[in-house]
Amino acid sequence: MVAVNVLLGLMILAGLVALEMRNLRVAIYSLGAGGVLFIVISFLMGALEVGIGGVILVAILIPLLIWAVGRTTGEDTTARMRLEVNEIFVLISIVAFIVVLLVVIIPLFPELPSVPEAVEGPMGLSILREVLVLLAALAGVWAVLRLVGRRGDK
Amino acid sequence: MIATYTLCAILFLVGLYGVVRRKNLIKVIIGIAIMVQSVGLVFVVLGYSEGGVGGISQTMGLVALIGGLAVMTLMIATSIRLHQKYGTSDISEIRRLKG
Repeated sequence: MVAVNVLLGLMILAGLVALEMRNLRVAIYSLGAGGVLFIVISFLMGALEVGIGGVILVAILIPLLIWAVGRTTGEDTTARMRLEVNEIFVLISIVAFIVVLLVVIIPLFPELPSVPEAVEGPMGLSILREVLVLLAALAGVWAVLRLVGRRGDK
Repeated sequence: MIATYTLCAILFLVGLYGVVRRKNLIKVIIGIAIMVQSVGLVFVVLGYSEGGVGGISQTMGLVALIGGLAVMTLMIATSIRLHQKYGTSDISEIRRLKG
């Protein structure tokens, strides 16, 4: 698991480089490096299907992005690091919140079996699915409420 | 295992930062690509045990990757058309989306 964590750290680094580079071709190559790391992690953990999916993702996305850069602009003129103090504070708070949330939530999920025993799937995934459905429903309600509010303003 | 989940969450946040903060359309797509990869990894880690990764987790991870790829392909096509129409990839300058 240590090797996976190190590769994940390198993926984060590649992602940051891809987002901060002014030269878009270099940014895309950095994203490709992150994609290769994703494939290696998938194969290391024994997820062959996801690894092959990653190969397809990199093989299609990177040439497409390079083609798009050729058709548009090769340089990101808007790239400049200008984070204010309160924004940095918000980002650190979000990361801290997610870390604490994971520390609290992960022990509640049971260890998943490698082969699912029932058609319904492992317990953790069922809970995750239900939570996702609930979140989608909440987002839908919020969107409808917003729409109704706007109509009321008119 | 918690460290792996945390790193996946940080990777997702890096992608989110790209989507929210970058103004170049290609950079926004790169941010979404990073988010899609982190979601795929979360599914892999979720189904991981000593014997390998569970079938359902792998399928869900694969669906996330392929669905994300479809979305990004459409976004690339849209970004090229927007650049042709407005002559820039800066989203703060592309305001006349209607009509």
